[in-house]
Amino acid sequence: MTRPILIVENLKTFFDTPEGLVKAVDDVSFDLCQNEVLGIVGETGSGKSVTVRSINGLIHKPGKIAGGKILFETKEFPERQKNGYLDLTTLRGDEYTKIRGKQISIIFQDPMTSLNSMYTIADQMIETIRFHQKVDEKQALEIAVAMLAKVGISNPKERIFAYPFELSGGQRQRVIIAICISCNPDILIADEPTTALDVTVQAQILELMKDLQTEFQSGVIFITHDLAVISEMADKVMVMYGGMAMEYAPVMTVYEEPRHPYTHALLNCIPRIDKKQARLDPIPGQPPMMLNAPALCPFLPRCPNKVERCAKEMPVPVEIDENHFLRCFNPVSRSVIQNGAL
Amino acid sequence: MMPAMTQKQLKKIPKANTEPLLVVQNLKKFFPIRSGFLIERTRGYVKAVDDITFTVEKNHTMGLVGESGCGKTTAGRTVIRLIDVTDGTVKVEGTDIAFLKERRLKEYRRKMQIVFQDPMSSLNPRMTVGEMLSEPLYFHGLARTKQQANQIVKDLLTSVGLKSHHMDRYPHQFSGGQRQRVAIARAVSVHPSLIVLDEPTSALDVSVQAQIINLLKKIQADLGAGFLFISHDLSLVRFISDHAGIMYLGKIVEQGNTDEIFEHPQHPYSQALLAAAPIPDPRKKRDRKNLLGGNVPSPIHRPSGCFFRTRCKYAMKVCEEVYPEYKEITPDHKVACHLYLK
Repeated sequence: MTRPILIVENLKTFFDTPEGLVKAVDDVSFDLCQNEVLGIVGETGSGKSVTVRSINGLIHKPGKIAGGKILFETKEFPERQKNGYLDLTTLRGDEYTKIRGKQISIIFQDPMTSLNSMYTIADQMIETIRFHQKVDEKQALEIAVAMLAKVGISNPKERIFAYPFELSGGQRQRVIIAICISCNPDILIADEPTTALDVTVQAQILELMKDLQTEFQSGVIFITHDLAVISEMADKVMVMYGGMAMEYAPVMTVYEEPRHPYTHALLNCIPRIDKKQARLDPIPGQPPMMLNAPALCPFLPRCPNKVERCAKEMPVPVEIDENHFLRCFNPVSRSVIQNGAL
Repeated sequence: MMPAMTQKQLKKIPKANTEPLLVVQNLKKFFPIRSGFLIERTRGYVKAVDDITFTVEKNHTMGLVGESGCGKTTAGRTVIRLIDVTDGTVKVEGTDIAFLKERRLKEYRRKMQIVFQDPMSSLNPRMTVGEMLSEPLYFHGLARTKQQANQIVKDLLTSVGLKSHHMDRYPHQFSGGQRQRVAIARAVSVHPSLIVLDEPTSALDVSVQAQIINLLKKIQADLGAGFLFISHDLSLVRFISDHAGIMYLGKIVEQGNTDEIFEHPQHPYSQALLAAAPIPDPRKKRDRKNLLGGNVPSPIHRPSGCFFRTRCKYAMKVCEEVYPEYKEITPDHKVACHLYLK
């Protein structure tokens, strides 16, 4: 078995708001190897973005990492390491800049707001490259142009002096990707990178990301609410709901043998482009209120499989098969899955 | 489940005739581009909707699908006269309303309702749900007294899956899905025969989306209304519509029976669009050969001839010269492409 480059253990990120405590991420564990794509899928407020922001040290007040470890394999801060891993939760804000952008970069959802509209693409790329690498301005520009060519911007030598507003949404997202890979990071985090894009442009960006991932062999954490996108990109999938990882398994298992009632219901309620459906089976009720949530399974009020035990205690993640983790007292039985519409 | 109407109210609704509910012919909507200080000149037009023709039958759903900027929303708004028509005819139950004066339009305002994309901005934050739902009732004379109105509002709320005590609440007290239910109740309250649904679920999570889609189907069965369903989500259009039209730069490039279009797309753009859509099945990989390059051209400077020729892999000489006429592939499937015009 290959050694993971990132191990997240029982991560808890809480927001202490005036209205009450929000457990945005509660007891989430996963790991990521080199050349592996982890997909995190969940609905609005399920904690998927906060999870990766915690990894990247982007949690600000009133939020804080309330527990758990984020172990990252790095050469920085050797004196603080254990077994070659550095616990990122121990880093101070300014120390994080040695990791963030260089070894872990993040692509955000909206390419218009993540680029500064007052500076040219060249300014923004050179700034990042010179911050992390010992190169002069001319070399940095060369690297930047090469990166733009790599992400499929035509005529990069001229386009690099464009301002963000002169580019289309798809091109802007390509520029962001170029900035993110310019320091050859070990981990690339993509937080809904194609949600703001049209479907044909989305297809271009997804294919580009697959190509780059094969080339750079980096680890990728891909976040989306779109089950179709994740099925295409990911090697393994973590399904989040109400701040918790409900099911965590290889991609084939999640789509063909989803044992958690939430995953199962979610796959049954999406319309499919590739087949005719007579009806959709919606999940009744509303997504959970995260404010002062009870210490019970967050899916309980909407769950068709609930048992008495669910109202008393919180289930813990159990490995029911190899690499198939589940947080549920009463998983969907195998016979139901085989007879279902899936 | 619809609130009962009194005899007097029923008389106001003319008897059903055999004409299709909505016949749109050669509809055009051009937005002038003006420039200049003091003396404004029209420099050109954005041809948002350019000569589209389609029909919506009672109890049927027509889906309009396309990428952003293709004119699908403008088409929906022009049809119900939210914005003025530039040219063409819009026949509602046999009467052309395209250039009808506002006073005579009032009756058709009741018959044609719309549900917008974002339920937060389409509901007045300073009105309670009760006030919001009774206003159209008073306006169209469906209720005279407060008591009558309250009764109808209560029935409406139950029919869209809310509780009658919700009528005293303000929009911010609801979740996104509940707000969209209120917006649907408002549209349904005046017994319309045509409802335009402009991306009604794109602001919602998938688990809630399925609830709203099922509610819309139930309402259609109860009311017998025709739906014009506008969306960028191909799988959703496939699920909900009986007929579908695929739009590109203001034109419907292909239209017909939904299953026919999704299973045997004929237009190169339809083929590319469907190939680009991700499928929630890790075993199905995207056909890379059909991937579209580039971006949608600017609607101000559309290419000559067929607008899609700049991105089309089958582009021929004739495509530069004239925009193709419709060709009937089957009686219920039309495509505008020179490939089929020989």
